Amino acid sequence: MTMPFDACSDVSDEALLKLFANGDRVAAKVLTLRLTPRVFRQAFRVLQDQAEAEDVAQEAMLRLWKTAPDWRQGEAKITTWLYQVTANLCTDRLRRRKPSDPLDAVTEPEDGADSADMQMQNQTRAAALNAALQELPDRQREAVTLRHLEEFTNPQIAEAMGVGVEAVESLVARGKRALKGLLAKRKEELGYDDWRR
Amino acid sequence: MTTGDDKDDKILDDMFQAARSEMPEPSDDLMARVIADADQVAEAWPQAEAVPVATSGGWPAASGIVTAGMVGLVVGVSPPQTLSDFAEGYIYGTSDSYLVDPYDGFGFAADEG
Repeated sequence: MTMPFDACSDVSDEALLKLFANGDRVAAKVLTLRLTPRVFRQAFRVLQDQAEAEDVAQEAMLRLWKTAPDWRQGEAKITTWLYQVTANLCTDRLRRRKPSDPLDAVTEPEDGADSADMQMQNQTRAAALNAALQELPDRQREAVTLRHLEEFTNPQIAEAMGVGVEAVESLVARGKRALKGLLAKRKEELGYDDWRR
Repeated sequence: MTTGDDKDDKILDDMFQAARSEMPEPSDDLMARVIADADQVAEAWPQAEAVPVATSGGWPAASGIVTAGMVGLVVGVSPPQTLSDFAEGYIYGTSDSYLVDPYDGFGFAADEG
């Protein structure tokens, strides 16, 4: 039996995967729409390349489909499992790349006149943040990215990273402190020189 | 009063927001490829296995199930005239069968003790 497409919003990822394993193709479509953007964004943040990030996202989702019949409900969350698979695939891709400075790929602000354009300013700020994130130790970058860009909860991060919640809190706090230090000298350039809220 | 640290926190929050909003979206082509992969993987799975006849009562039981199924199919597709007459009377109220009181005589017997 196939469930209606619009009746799946309250169904958990794990239940949808079980439905897919039982032959429900609609469940696969719902999971694709729900999970692929998140997997793609995670890959893009690491690889900074649309085509490579899409290849990684496709491969991660393919592994999910293949594991569906053997998925044991209650043991792990699919989002956590996918996060780890995607992280490993990205690491493999980075190892195969020629050594280069990751900051080379970051878009630098073009000139001061563009700061009037909100869209351009957003892009500049996002690029600056990504560049600063690349300078953090791996564990801090991972924790800060999951908390503030993927919007995972601390317990979800703890599960994904295989550490305790207190360790996550510490990693996030240290990472944010380091980011503030790295970005302090760019406040004016980023339009925060007289920034008030 | 806003301290320097509070302000830095707000700036950082603003930059996280900018980074979230500036992420590219996956292409429609990627979504189509992922769905096609799901279909391909599902097609490769073996179909659901039938329950072995030996574990369900053997061939005598199986033949009874098949016979019952076929009778049900025939009744459903082309019901006997007597059956449809009864059903029609019951549904449209032309039958008095619902007026039959099976406890008619029993009531007197109960009253008399």
